[in-house]
Amino acid sequence: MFKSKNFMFMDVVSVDGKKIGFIKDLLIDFNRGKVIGFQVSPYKFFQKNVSILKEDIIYFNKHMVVNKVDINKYLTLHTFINMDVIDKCRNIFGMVEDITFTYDTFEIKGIIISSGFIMNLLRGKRIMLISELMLGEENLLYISNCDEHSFKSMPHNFFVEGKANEKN
Amino acid sequence: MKKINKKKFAMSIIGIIIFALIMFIAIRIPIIKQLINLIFISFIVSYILKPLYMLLIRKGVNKNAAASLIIVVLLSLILLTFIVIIPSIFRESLNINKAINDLENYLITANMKIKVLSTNSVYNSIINTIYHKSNAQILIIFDKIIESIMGLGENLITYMVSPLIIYYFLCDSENMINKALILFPPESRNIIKKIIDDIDKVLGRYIISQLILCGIISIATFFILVFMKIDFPLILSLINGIFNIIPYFGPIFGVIPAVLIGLLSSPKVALYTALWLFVLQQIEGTILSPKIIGDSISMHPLTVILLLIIGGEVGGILGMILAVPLGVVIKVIYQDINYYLF
Repeated sequence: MFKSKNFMFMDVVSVDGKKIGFIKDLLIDFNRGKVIGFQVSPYKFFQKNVSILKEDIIYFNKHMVVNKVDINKYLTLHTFINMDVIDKCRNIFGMVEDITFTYDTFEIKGIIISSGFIMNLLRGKRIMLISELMLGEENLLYISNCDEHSFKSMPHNFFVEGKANEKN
Repeated sequence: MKKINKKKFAMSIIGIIIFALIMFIAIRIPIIKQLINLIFISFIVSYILKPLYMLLIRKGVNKNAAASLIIVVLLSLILLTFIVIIPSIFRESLNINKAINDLENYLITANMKIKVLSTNSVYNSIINTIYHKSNAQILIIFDKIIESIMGLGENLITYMVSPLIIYYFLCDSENMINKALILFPPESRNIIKKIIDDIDKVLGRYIISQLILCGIISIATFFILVFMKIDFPLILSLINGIFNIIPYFGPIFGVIPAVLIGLLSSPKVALYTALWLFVLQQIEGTILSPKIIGDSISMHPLTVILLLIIGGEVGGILGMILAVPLGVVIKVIYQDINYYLF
Protein backbone atom coordinates (compact mmCIF):
# COMPACT_ATOMS: atom_id res chain seq x y z
CA MET A 1 0.00 0.00 0.00
CA PHE A 2 1.10 3.53 -0.73
CA LYS A 3 0.47 6.58 1.35
CA SER A 4 0.71 10.12 0.05
CA LYS A 5 4.17 10.48 1.61
CA ASN A 6 5.60 7.98 -0.88
CA PHE A 7 4.97 10.50 -3.66
CA MET A 8 5.35 13.92 -2.05
CA PHE A 9 8.34 15.92 -3.34
CA MET A 10 9.10 13.30 -6.00
CA ASP A 11 10.77 14.83 -9.03
CA VAL A 12 8.84 14.61 -12.26
CA VAL A 13 10.72 14.28 -15.54
CA SER A 14 9.33 14.20 -19.06
CA VAL A 15 10.29 11.47 -21.53
CA ASP A 16 12.84 13.67 -23.28
CA GLY A 17 14.59 14.29 -19.98
CA LYS A 18 13.29 17.74 -19.09
CA LYS A 19 12.60 18.42 -15.44
CA ILE A 20 8.97 19.41 -15.03
CA GLY A 21 8.71 19.94 -11.29
CA PHE A 22 7.93 18.07 -8.12
CA ILE A 23 4.78 16.41 -6.86
CA LYS A 24 2.85 18.63 -4.53
CA ASP A 25 -0.48 16.93 -4.21
CA LEU A 26 -2.53 13.92 -5.22
CA LEU A 27 -5.51 14.11 -7.56
CA ILE A 28 -8.46 12.11 -6.38
CA ASP A 29 -11.71 10.89 -7.82
CA PHE A 30 -13.77 10.51 -4.69
CA ASN A 31 -16.73 8.84 -6.41
CA ARG A 32 -14.75 6.03 -7.95
CA GLY A 33 -12.42 5.90 -4.97
CA LYS A 34 -9.24 6.20 -6.97
CA VAL A 35 -6.11 8.29 -7.16
CA ILE A 36 -6.21 9.55 -10.74
CA GLY A 37 -2.93 11.44 -10.85
CA PHE A 38 -0.68 14.02 -9.29
CA GLN A 39 -0.46 17.76 -9.07
CA VAL A 40 2.97 19.04 -9.97
CA SER A 41 4.52 22.32 -8.89
CA PRO A 42 6.83 23.45 -11.72
CA TYR A 43 10.39 24.62 -11.15
CA LYS A 44 9.99 27.54 -13.56
CA PHE A 45 8.69 30.90 -12.42
CA PHE A 46 5.37 32.31 -13.56
CA GLN A 47 4.03 28.90 -14.42
CA LYS A 48 0.92 27.45 -12.89
CA ASN A 49 0.62 24.03 -11.33
CA VAL A 50 0.08 21.23 -13.81
CA SER A 51 -1.64 17.90 -13.43
CA ILE A 52 -0.34 14.50 -14.38
CA LEU A 53 -2.78 11.69 -14.99
CA LYS A 54 -2.10 8.12 -14.07
CA GLU A 55 -2.31 6.92 -17.70
CA ASP A 56 0.55 9.21 -18.67
CA ILE A 57 2.94 7.88 -16.06
CA ILE A 58 5.55 5.62 -17.62
CA TYR A 59 7.52 4.72 -14.54
CA PHE A 60 8.18 5.92 -11.04
CA ASN A 61 10.66 5.09 -8.34
CA LYS A 62 12.83 7.91 -7.08
CA HIS A 63 11.77 10.03 -10.04
CA MET A 64 8.64 9.91 -12.07
CA VAL A 65 8.78 9.81 -15.87
CA VAL A 66 5.70 10.99 -17.70
CA ASN A 67 4.44 11.16 -21.25
CA LYS A 68 2.55 14.41 -21.19
CA VAL A 69 1.07 16.92 -18.79
CA ASP A 70 -2.50 17.97 -18.36
CA ILE A 71 -3.63 21.49 -17.47
CA ASN A 72 -7.12 20.65 -16.22
CA LYS A 73 -7.97 21.00 -12.55
CA TYR A 74 -9.09 18.11 -10.38
CA LEU A 75 -9.97 17.47 -6.76
CA THR A 76 -6.78 17.32 -4.71
CA LEU A 77 -6.05 15.45 -1.51
CA HIS A 78 -5.27 18.61 0.41
CA THR A 79 -8.77 19.99 -0.10
CA PHE A 80 -10.09 17.45 2.36
CA ILE A 81 -7.08 16.75 4.53
CA ASN A 82 -7.71 18.11 8.05
CA MET A 83 -11.47 18.07 7.47
CA ASP A 84 -13.53 16.63 10.31
CA VAL A 85 -15.22 13.30 9.88
CA ILE A 86 -18.68 13.28 11.47
CA ASP A 87 -21.59 10.91 11.55
CA LYS A 88 -25.30 11.62 11.23
CA CYS A 89 -25.55 12.63 14.89
CA ARG A 90 -22.66 15.08 14.48
CA ASN A 91 -20.26 12.99 16.53
CA ILE A 92 -16.72 13.88 15.51
CA PHE A 93 -14.40 10.95 14.78
CA GLY A 94 -11.27 12.94 13.99
CA MET A 95 -9.51 14.62 11.13
CA VAL A 96 -8.57 13.16 7.79
CA GLU A 97 -4.83 12.62 7.84
CA ASP A 98 -3.92 10.53 4.85
CA ILE A 99 -5.12 7.91 2.42
CA THR A 100 -3.78 4.50 1.57
CA PHE A 101 -4.03 3.16 -1.95
CA THR A 102 -2.92 0.04 -3.79
CA TYR A 103 0.33 -0.35 -5.68
CA ASP A 104 -1.05 -1.19 -9.10
CA THR A 105 -4.54 0.23 -9.62
CA PHE A 106 -4.21 3.22 -7.28
CA GLU A 107 -7.54 2.27 -5.73
CA ILE A 108 -8.06 4.02 -2.41
CA LYS A 109 -8.46 1.31 0.19
CA GLY A 110 -8.80 3.42 3.26
CA ILE A 111 -8.85 6.90 4.69
CA ILE A 112 -6.76 7.37 7.79
CA ILE A 113 -8.41 9.35 10.55
CA SER A 114 -6.19 10.97 13.15
CA SER A 115 -7.42 12.08 16.54
CA GLY A 116 -4.31 13.94 17.74
CA PHE A 117 -0.85 12.54 18.36
CA ILE A 118 -1.33 11.42 21.96
CA MET A 119 -4.75 9.95 21.32
CA ASN A 120 -3.31 8.10 18.34
CA LEU A 121 -0.65 6.56 20.55
CA LEU A 122 -3.24 5.39 23.04
CA ARG A 123 -6.07 4.32 20.77
CA GLY A 124 -4.54 3.90 17.34
CA LYS A 125 -5.65 5.58 14.15
CA ARG A 126 -9.04 4.72 12.78
CA ILE A 127 -9.12 3.65 9.16
CA MET A 128 -12.35 4.10 7.24
CA LEU A 129 -13.33 2.73 3.88
CA ILE A 130 -13.96 5.26 1.18
CA SER A 131 -17.35 3.71 0.45
CA GLU A 132 -18.44 4.63 3.96
CA LEU A 133 -17.65 8.30 3.52
CA MET A 134 -19.34 11.19 1.75
CA LEU A 135 -17.39 14.31 0.90
CA GLY A 136 -19.05 17.57 1.86
CA GLU A 137 -18.03 21.21 1.78
CA GLU A 138 -16.78 21.37 5.34
CA ASN A 139 -16.95 17.86 6.73
CA LEU A 140 -16.90 14.26 5.66
CA LEU A 141 -19.99 12.30 6.56
CA TYR A 142 -19.51 8.78 7.86
CA ILE A 143 -22.26 6.31 7.01
CA SER A 144 -21.55 2.96 8.58
CA ASN A 145 -22.46 0.03 6.38
CA CYS A 146 -22.02 -2.51 9.08
CA ASP A 147 -21.24 -2.08 12.73
CA GLU A 148 -19.39 -5.36 13.03
CA HIS A 149 -15.97 -4.32 11.81
CA SER A 150 -13.86 -1.28 12.21
CA PHE A 151 -10.22 -0.97 11.27
CA LYS A 152 -7.45 0.53 13.30
CA SER A 153 -3.78 1.17 12.84
CA MET A 154 -1.97 0.73 16.14
CA PRO A 155 1.42 2.14 17.07
CA HIS A 156 4.12 -0.48 16.76
CA ASN A 157 7.86 -0.86 17.01
CA PHE A 158 9.19 2.21 15.30
CA PHE A 159 12.25 0.60 13.79
CA VAL A 160 10.73 -2.44 12.17
CA GLU A 161 9.01 -2.12 8.85
CA GLY A 162 6.53 -4.18 6.95
CA LYS A 163 5.05 -7.54 7.71
CA ALA A 164 6.84 -8.13 11.02
CA ASN A 165 4.35 -5.87 12.76
CA GLU A 166 1.14 -7.18 11.31
CA LYS A 167 -1.00 -9.31 13.52
CA ASN A 168 -4.58 -10.38 13.50
CA MET B 1 4.42 -9.32 25.63
CA LYS B 2 3.41 -6.25 27.57
CA LYS B 3 6.00 -6.87 30.26
CA ILE B 4 8.84 -6.95 27.76
CA ASN B 5 7.56 -3.74 26.26
CA LYS B 6 7.53 -2.03 29.63
CA LYS B 7 11.03 -3.23 30.41
CA LYS B 8 12.27 -2.00 27.04
CA PHE B 9 10.56 1.31 27.58
CA ALA B 10 12.19 1.78 30.99
CA MET B 11 15.58 0.81 29.57
CA SER B 12 15.33 3.30 26.75
CA ILE B 13 14.29 6.09 29.12
CA ILE B 14 17.26 5.34 31.39
CA GLY B 15 19.51 5.31 28.34
CA ILE B 16 18.25 8.69 27.21
CA ILE B 17 18.75 10.16 30.70
CA ILE B 18 22.32 8.85 30.91
CA PHE B 19 23.07 10.17 27.43
CA ALA B 20 21.68 13.60 28.34
CA LEU B 21 23.72 13.65 31.56
CA ILE B 22 26.92 12.80 29.70
CA MET B 23 26.19 15.50 27.14
CA PHE B 24 25.48 18.00 29.91
CA ILE B 25 28.82 17.28 31.60
CA ALA B 26 30.70 17.18 28.32
CA ILE B 27 29.46 20.62 27.29
CA ARG B 28 30.95 22.04 30.50
CA ILE B 29 34.46 20.96 29.46
CA PRO B 30 35.84 23.74 27.26
CA ILE B 31 37.82 21.53 24.87
CA ILE B 32 34.83 19.37 24.08
CA LYS B 33 32.62 22.42 23.74
CA GLN B 34 35.06 23.93 21.28
CA LEU B 35 35.26 20.68 19.36
CA ILE B 36 31.49 20.37 19.14
CA ASN B 37 31.29 23.99 18.01
CA LEU B 38 33.89 23.38 15.34
CA ILE B 39 32.26 20.25 13.98
CA PHE B 40 28.82 21.84 14.06
CA ILE B 41 29.98 24.91 12.12
CA SER B 42 31.91 22.82 9.59
CA PHE B 43 28.91 20.55 9.15
CA ILE B 44 26.58 23.46 8.44
CA VAL B 45 29.00 25.10 6.03
CA SER B 46 29.67 21.86 4.20
CA TYR B 47 25.94 21.16 4.01
CA ILE B 48 25.37 24.58 2.49
CA LEU B 49 28.17 23.99 -0.01
CA LYS B 50 26.90 20.54 -0.91
CA PRO B 51 24.64 21.59 -3.84
CA LEU B 52 27.59 23.38 -5.44
CA TYR B 53 29.72 20.29 -4.95
CA MET B 54 27.09 18.03 -6.49
CA LEU B 55 26.86 20.40 -9.45
CA LEU B 56 30.62 20.15 -10.01
CA ILE B 57 30.47 16.36 -9.73
CA ARG B 58 27.69 16.23 -12.29
CA LYS B 59 29.80 18.36 -14.62
CA GLY B 60 32.35 15.55 -14.50
CA VAL B 61 34.90 16.91 -12.04
CA ASN B 62 36.82 14.50 -9.86
CA LYS B 63 35.51 14.16 -6.27
CA ASN B 64 38.65 15.36 -4.51
CA ALA B 65 39.29 18.06 -7.09
CA ALA B 66 35.77 19.43 -6.71
CA ALA B 67 36.02 19.53 -2.91
CA SER B 68 39.42 21.21 -2.94
CA LEU B 69 38.28 23.73 -5.54
CA ILE B 70 35.35 24.70 -3.34
CA ILE B 71 37.60 25.00 -0.29
CA VAL B 72 40.10 27.21 -2.13
CA VAL B 73 37.32 29.48 -3.37
CA LEU B 74 35.82 29.65 0.13
CA LEU B 75 39.17 30.50 1.74
CA SER B 76 39.94 33.22 -0.78
CA LEU B 77 36.46 34.68 -0.29
CA ILE B 78 36.96 34.80 3.48
CA LEU B 79 40.39 36.41 3.09
CA LEU B 80 38.98 38.96 0.65
CA THR B 81 36.18 39.93 3.01
CA PHE B 82 38.67 40.35 5.86
CA ILE B 83 40.93 42.49 3.73
CA VAL B 84 38.00 44.64 2.63
CA ILE B 85 35.89 44.72 5.81
CA ILE B 86 38.38 45.49 8.57
CA PRO B 87 39.83 48.65 7.01
CA SER B 88 36.33 49.72 6.09
CA ILE B 89 35.12 49.29 9.66
CA PHE B 90 37.92 51.55 10.87
CA ARG B 91 37.13 54.14 8.24
CA GLU B 92 33.48 53.83 9.14
CA SER B 93 34.20 54.39 12.81
CA LEU B 94 36.01 57.61 11.96
CA ASN B 95 33.02 58.72 9.92
CA ILE B 96 30.65 57.84 12.72
CA ASN B 97 32.80 59.82 15.14
CA LYS B 98 32.34 62.78 12.86
CA ALA B 99 28.61 62.14 12.78
CA ILE B 100 28.52 62.05 16.58
CA ASN B 101 30.39 65.33 16.72
CA ASP B 102 27.88 66.81 14.29
CA LEU B 103 25.06 65.56 16.46
CA GLU B 104 26.67 67.09 19.52
CA ASN B 105 27.05 70.43 17.82
CA TYR B 106 23.48 70.27 16.62
CA LEU B 107 22.25 69.50 20.11
CA ILE B 108 24.26 72.33 21.61
CA THR B 109 22.90 74.85 19.13
CA ALA B 110 19.40 73.52 19.69
CA ASN B 111 19.98 73.83 23.38
CA MET B 112 21.01 77.44 22.95
CA LYS B 113 17.93 78.20 20.90
CA ILE B 114 15.67 76.59 23.45
CA LYS B 115 17.43 78.48 26.20
CA VAL B 116 16.55 81.66 24.44
CA LEU B 117 12.92 80.60 24.49
CA SER B 118 12.86 79.41 28.07
CA THR B 119 15.37 78.71 30.77
CA ASN B 120 13.60 75.57 31.82
CA SER B 121 15.94 73.05 33.42
CA VAL B 122 13.76 70.12 32.22
CA TYR B 123 14.77 70.68 28.56
CA ASN B 124 18.35 70.85 29.64
CA SER B 125 18.31 67.61 31.52
CA ILE B 126 16.42 65.76 28.76
CA ILE B 127 18.90 66.82 26.12
CA ASN B 128 21.80 65.96 28.38
CA THR B 129 20.49 62.47 29.06
CA ILE B 130 19.81 61.83 25.36
CA TYR B 131 23.32 62.88 24.52
CA HIS B 132 24.96 60.79 27.24
CA LYS B 133 22.83 57.72 26.61
CA SER B 134 23.47 57.71 22.87
CA ASN B 135 27.18 58.24 23.42
CA ALA B 136 27.35 55.35 25.89
CA GLN B 137 25.39 53.05 23.57
CA ILE B 138 27.70 53.74 20.66
CA LEU B 139 30.74 53.10 22.83
CA ILE B 140 29.28 49.79 23.97
CA ILE B 141 28.60 48.73 20.37
CA PHE B 142 32.18 49.46 19.36
CA ASP B 143 33.51 47.63 22.41
CA LYS B 144 31.46 44.61 21.43
CA ILE B 145 32.69 44.65 17.84
CA ILE B 146 36.32 44.84 18.93
CA GLU B 147 35.78 42.14 21.55
CA SER B 148 34.26 39.76 19.03
CA ILE B 149 37.13 40.34 16.62
CA MET B 150 39.57 39.58 19.47
CA GLY B 151 37.61 36.44 20.36
CA LEU B 152 37.83 35.33 16.75
CA GLY B 153 41.58 35.81 16.87
CA GLU B 154 41.89 33.69 20.02
CA ASN B 155 40.14 30.74 18.41
CA LEU B 156 41.77 31.32 15.07
CA ILE B 157 43.83 28.15 15.22
CA THR B 158 40.82 25.96 15.84
CA TYR B 159 38.87 27.67 13.11
CA MET B 160 41.81 27.26 10.75
CA VAL B 161 41.18 23.52 10.88
CA SER B 162 37.58 23.87 9.82
CA PRO B 163 38.28 24.09 6.05
CA LEU B 164 39.99 20.71 6.32
CA ILE B 165 37.01 19.26 8.14
CA ILE B 166 34.68 20.77 5.56
CA TYR B 167 36.79 19.18 2.84
CA TYR B 168 36.41 15.72 4.34
CA PHE B 169 32.73 16.25 5.06
CA LEU B 170 32.27 17.07 1.40
CA CYS B 171 34.12 14.26 -0.28
CA ASP B 172 33.64 11.52 2.30
CA SER B 173 30.16 12.19 3.61
CA GLU B 174 28.48 8.94 2.51
CA ASN B 175 31.13 6.87 4.20
CA MET B 176 30.88 8.95 7.36
CA ILE B 177 27.10 8.72 7.63
CA ASN B 178 27.29 4.97 7.33
CA LYS B 179 29.98 4.79 10.00
CA ALA B 180 28.04 7.09 12.31
CA LEU B 181 25.04 4.78 12.05
CA ILE B 182 27.00 2.14 13.96
CA LEU B 183 25.70 3.89 17.07
CA PHE B 184 22.25 2.50 16.35
CA PRO B 185 21.19 -1.13 16.30
CA PRO B 186 21.24 -2.66 12.81
CA GLU B 187 17.51 -3.27 12.47
CA SER B 188 16.81 0.41 13.01
CA ARG B 189 19.29 1.72 10.46
CA ASN B 190 16.92 1.33 7.55
CA ILE B 191 14.38 3.69 9.08
CA ILE B 192 17.03 6.14 10.24
CA LYS B 193 18.48 6.27 6.73
CA LYS B 194 15.04 6.98 5.36
CA ILE B 195 14.49 9.78 7.86
CA ILE B 196 17.89 11.28 7.00
CA ASP B 197 16.96 11.09 3.32
CA ASP B 198 13.69 12.89 3.95
CA ILE B 199 15.38 15.63 5.95
CA ASP B 200 18.02 16.00 3.26
CA LYS B 201 15.35 16.30 0.58
CA VAL B 202 13.44 19.11 2.28
CA LEU B 203 16.43 20.92 3.78
CA GLY B 204 18.42 20.74 0.55
CA ARG B 205 15.53 22.30 -1.31
CA TYR B 206 15.26 25.03 1.32
CA ILE B 207 18.98 25.84 1.21
CA ILE B 208 19.15 25.97 -2.58
CA SER B 209 16.12 28.23 -2.75
CA GLN B 210 17.54 30.50 -0.03
CA LEU B 211 20.87 30.75 -1.84
CA ILE B 212 19.11 31.71 -5.07
CA LEU B 213 17.02 34.35 -3.30
CA CYS B 214 20.07 35.64 -1.41
CA GLY B 215 21.96 35.99 -4.69
CA ILE B 216 19.10 37.78 -6.44
CA ILE B 217 18.62 40.23 -3.57
CA SER B 218 22.35 40.89 -3.19
CA ILE B 219 22.81 41.67 -6.88
CA ALA B 220 19.73 43.89 -7.01
CA THR B 221 20.79 45.75 -3.84
CA PHE B 222 24.30 46.18 -5.26
CA PHE B 223 22.94 47.87 -8.36
CA ILE B 224 20.64 50.10 -6.32
CA LEU B 225 23.50 51.17 -4.01
CA VAL B 226 25.88 51.80 -6.93
CA PHE B 227 23.16 53.83 -8.61
CA MET B 228 22.59 55.85 -5.41
CA LYS B 229 26.40 56.29 -5.02
CA ILE B 230 26.51 54.98 -1.44
CA ASP B 231 29.84 53.81 -0.01
CA PHE B 232 30.70 50.12 0.39
CA PRO B 233 28.00 48.77 -1.93
CA LEU B 234 29.49 45.28 -1.94
CA ILE B 235 29.41 44.73 1.82
CA LEU B 236 26.06 46.40 2.30
CA SER B 237 24.43 44.36 -0.44
CA LEU B 238 25.88 41.15 0.99
CA ILE B 239 24.55 42.09 4.43
CA ASN B 240 21.14 42.74 2.96
CA GLY B 241 21.21 39.42 1.09
CA ILE B 242 22.21 37.46 4.17
CA PHE B 243 19.64 39.12 6.38
CA ASN B 244 17.06 38.34 3.78
CA ILE B 245 17.28 34.68 4.79
CA ILE B 246 15.29 35.62 7.90
CA PRO B 247 11.68 35.85 6.84
CA TYR B 248 9.53 38.85 7.86
CA PHE B 249 12.09 40.55 10.17
CA GLY B 250 15.21 40.13 8.05
CA PRO B 251 14.48 42.68 5.33
CA ILE B 252 14.13 45.45 7.94
CA PHE B 253 17.46 44.62 9.61
CA GLY B 254 19.18 44.37 6.23
CA VAL B 255 18.10 47.80 5.08
CA ILE B 256 19.14 49.66 8.25
CA PRO B 257 22.94 49.73 7.66
CA ALA B 258 22.52 50.88 4.09
CA VAL B 259 20.18 53.68 5.14
CA LEU B 260 22.50 54.72 8.00
CA ILE B 261 25.47 54.99 5.66
CA GLY B 262 23.29 56.86 3.20
CA LEU B 263 22.40 59.23 6.04
CA LEU B 264 26.07 60.11 6.39
CA SER B 265 26.07 61.66 2.93
CA SER B 266 22.62 63.26 3.04
CA PRO B 267 19.10 62.57 4.34
CA LYS B 268 17.67 62.74 0.81
CA VAL B 269 19.94 59.93 -0.41
CA ALA B 270 19.01 57.83 2.62
CA LEU B 271 15.31 58.34 1.95
CA TYR B 272 15.61 57.34 -1.69
CA THR B 273 17.72 54.29 -0.80
CA ALA B 274 15.15 53.20 1.76
CA LEU B 275 12.41 53.65 -0.82
CA TRP B 276 14.16 51.63 -3.52
CA LEU B 277 15.12 48.85 -1.13
CA PHE B 278 11.56 48.79 0.15
CA VAL B 279 10.28 48.34 -3.42
CA LEU B 280 12.81 45.53 -3.92
CA GLN B 281 11.67 43.80 -0.72
CA GLN B 282 8.06 44.08 -1.78
CA ILE B 283 8.80 42.49 -5.15
CA GLU B 284 10.78 39.75 -3.46
CA GLY B 285 8.23 39.18 -0.72
CA THR B 286 5.16 38.98 -2.93
CA ILE B 287 6.44 37.33 -6.09
CA LEU B 288 9.68 35.43 -5.59
CA SER B 289 9.66 34.25 -1.99
CA PRO B 290 6.29 32.48 -1.78
CA LYS B 291 7.08 30.60 -4.95
CA ILE B 292 10.61 29.57 -4.00
CA ILE B 293 10.32 29.07 -0.24
CA GLY B 294 6.63 28.39 0.29
CA ASP B 295 6.76 25.36 -1.95
CA SER B 296 9.73 23.90 -0.18
CA ILE B 297 8.78 24.18 3.49
CA SER B 298 4.97 24.44 3.52
CA MET B 299 4.78 25.97 6.98
CA HIS B 300 2.17 28.30 8.34
CA PRO B 301 3.36 31.93 8.63
CA LEU B 302 2.35 32.00 12.29
CA THR B 303 4.60 29.02 13.03
CA VAL B 304 7.41 30.76 11.19
CA ILE B 305 7.00 33.95 13.22
CA LEU B 306 6.92 32.03 16.51
CA LEU B 307 10.04 30.11 15.49
CA LEU B 308 11.78 33.38 14.62
CA ILE B 309 10.96 34.92 17.98
CA ILE B 310 12.26 31.86 19.84
CA GLY B 311 15.38 31.76 17.65
CA GLY B 312 16.03 35.45 18.23
CA GLU B 313 15.74 35.03 22.00
CA VAL B 314 18.05 32.03 22.08
CA GLY B 315 20.74 32.88 19.60
CA GLY B 316 20.32 36.40 18.30
CA ILE B 317 20.59 36.91 14.56
CA LEU B 318 22.28 33.54 13.98
CA GLY B 319 19.45 31.91 15.90
CA MET B 320 16.92 33.65 13.69
CA ILE B 321 18.68 32.41 10.56
CA LEU B 322 18.84 28.86 11.87
CA ALA B 323 15.35 28.80 13.40
CA VAL B 324 13.38 28.04 10.26
CA PRO B 325 15.59 25.20 8.97
CA LEU B 326 15.63 23.66 12.45
CA GLY B 327 11.87 23.94 12.55
CA VAL B 328 11.69 22.23 9.18
CA VAL B 329 13.89 19.39 10.46
CA ILE B 330 11.73 18.93 13.54
CA LYS B 331 8.60 18.93 11.39
CA VAL B 332 10.02 16.27 9.07
CA ILE B 333 11.07 14.11 12.02
CA TYR B 334 7.61 14.43 13.55
CA GLN B 335 5.96 13.50 10.27
CA ASP B 336 8.23 10.51 9.84
CA ILE B 337 7.58 9.29 13.38
CA ASN B 338 3.89 9.68 12.72
CA TYR B 339 4.30 7.71 9.51
CA TYR B 340 6.51 4.86 10.61
CA LEU B 341 4.97 4.38 14.02
CA PHE B 342 1.58 3.36 12.63
